[in-house]
Amino acid sequence: MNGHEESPWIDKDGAHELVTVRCRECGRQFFPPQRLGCEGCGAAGDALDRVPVPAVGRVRNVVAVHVHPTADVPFYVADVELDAVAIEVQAVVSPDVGVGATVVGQVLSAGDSQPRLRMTVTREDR
Amino acid sequence: MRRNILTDREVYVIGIGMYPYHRPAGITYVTMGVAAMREALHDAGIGWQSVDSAYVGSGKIGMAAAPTLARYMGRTGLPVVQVESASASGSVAVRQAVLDVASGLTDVSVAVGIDKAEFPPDAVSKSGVRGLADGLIEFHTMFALITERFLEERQVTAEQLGAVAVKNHRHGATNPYAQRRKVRSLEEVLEPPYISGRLTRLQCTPVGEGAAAVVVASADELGRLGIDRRRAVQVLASTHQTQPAFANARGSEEFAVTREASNEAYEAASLGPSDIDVVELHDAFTVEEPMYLEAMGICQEGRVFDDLEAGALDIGGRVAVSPSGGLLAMGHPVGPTGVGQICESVRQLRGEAIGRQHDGARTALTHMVGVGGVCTIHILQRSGPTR
Repeated sequence: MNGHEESPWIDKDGAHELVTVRCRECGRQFFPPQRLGCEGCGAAGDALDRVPVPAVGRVRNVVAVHVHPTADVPFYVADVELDAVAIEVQAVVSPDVGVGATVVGQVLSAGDSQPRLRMTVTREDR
Repeated sequence: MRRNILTDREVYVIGIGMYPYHRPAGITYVTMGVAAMREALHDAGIGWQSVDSAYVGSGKIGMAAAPTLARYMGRTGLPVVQVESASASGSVAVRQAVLDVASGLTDVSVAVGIDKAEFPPDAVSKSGVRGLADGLIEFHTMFALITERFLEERQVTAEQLGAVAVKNHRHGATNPYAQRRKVRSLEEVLEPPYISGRLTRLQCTPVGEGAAAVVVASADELGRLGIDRRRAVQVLASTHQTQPAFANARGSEEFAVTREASNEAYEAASLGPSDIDVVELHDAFTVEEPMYLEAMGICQEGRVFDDLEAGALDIGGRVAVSPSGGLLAMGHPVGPTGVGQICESVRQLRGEAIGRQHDGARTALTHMVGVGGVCTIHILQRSGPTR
């Protein structure tokens, strides 16, 4: 892992958080995290504060993916509006997810490769 | 403020050439590119010795394609450069050729688009920025998500969207350069296999290969070469923009940059969307055609599907949209695509689009978008009096 890569999510007391970034120069808040530069104003380095938020959001759209060069299909991808901040993320979701469902991050271990965070339906919405 | 150099020094397309788009096969990019360039030069009635510079548009071919292609045309020492802008690679190659002539640097320039159906890793995947779904979101998934949002927001059905593909497959069936040449019913278009979400195979552009080339020249050169002006098509606008940052993360970059780039093109050409007779746009997935038609003002907001159902967007309608079959039916080999749109537009404006002619076509608009929120738009107009 080189100096520019960082994990987009972290563990926090058993729950998961997404690492958003807020630019001190222009106020833009974005995901995924990077230290390369703010897309709004170009500020870099110390100007980019990490702001972890709960990995919880509502599904705006979801689609089944049936064709992919390497991954096993079908899998499901959704636009998820985060609860904590007005940011929409694209995430792999569990198959039972519908539009409007609340989803939370859950870790999927994939053997040797880095564990991936998947968003799954909360118990209340099942 | 940007100066429109196309009003200072007029630029004309004087030759076009195509290697028909087809499913992946063993033909090299060099064979296809050279064939397309030779056809374009023959169409223009000039030799390679008359060409002052050349641009090769390719998304995927790799290093050194430009001199590798050019050498077989005869090594005249002209500058040759490969340009890339993902899907819009061919369009930016055309733009660079146009700019060379418009700036006075050259009198004759060539743009050729080539690619093979291979898929090396792109630069986006090498950025080191990690999201939640890296490597899992192909373009068809991205546009499947956009389709869901579009259908919901516009209160449009999957059948209404499928009608876009029916039209474009019907147009493609009359185009000998198209990869897909079968008329398709709505039922066939909506049938599985699904690629992502609601996008079925026939609502997605196919994987393919081909080549396309254009020759552009200055007004003075037309005179010197004795070019028939009735077959010369003027480039009124050649714009390229990238989408500035959104205030928040919502919205489609492709829609927004299309709107801005088309506004710049209309202003440069001193005309508006109602002056456009022919449109070739980036319809890699059915949802894109209505999106961009609205963004460019070709259709009024909320009226695209009314227009489509009334036949207003057919060859012979109010404005022929994707008369070539578009990316859906003609195909999207990437490098060639934007150049091929210019070729189709020129054919239409010359009245030479046999079997698929939009009568009275005078002004055409070509539109391509590329990964990263880039958009290239050309506006072309035939010379001479209205027929």
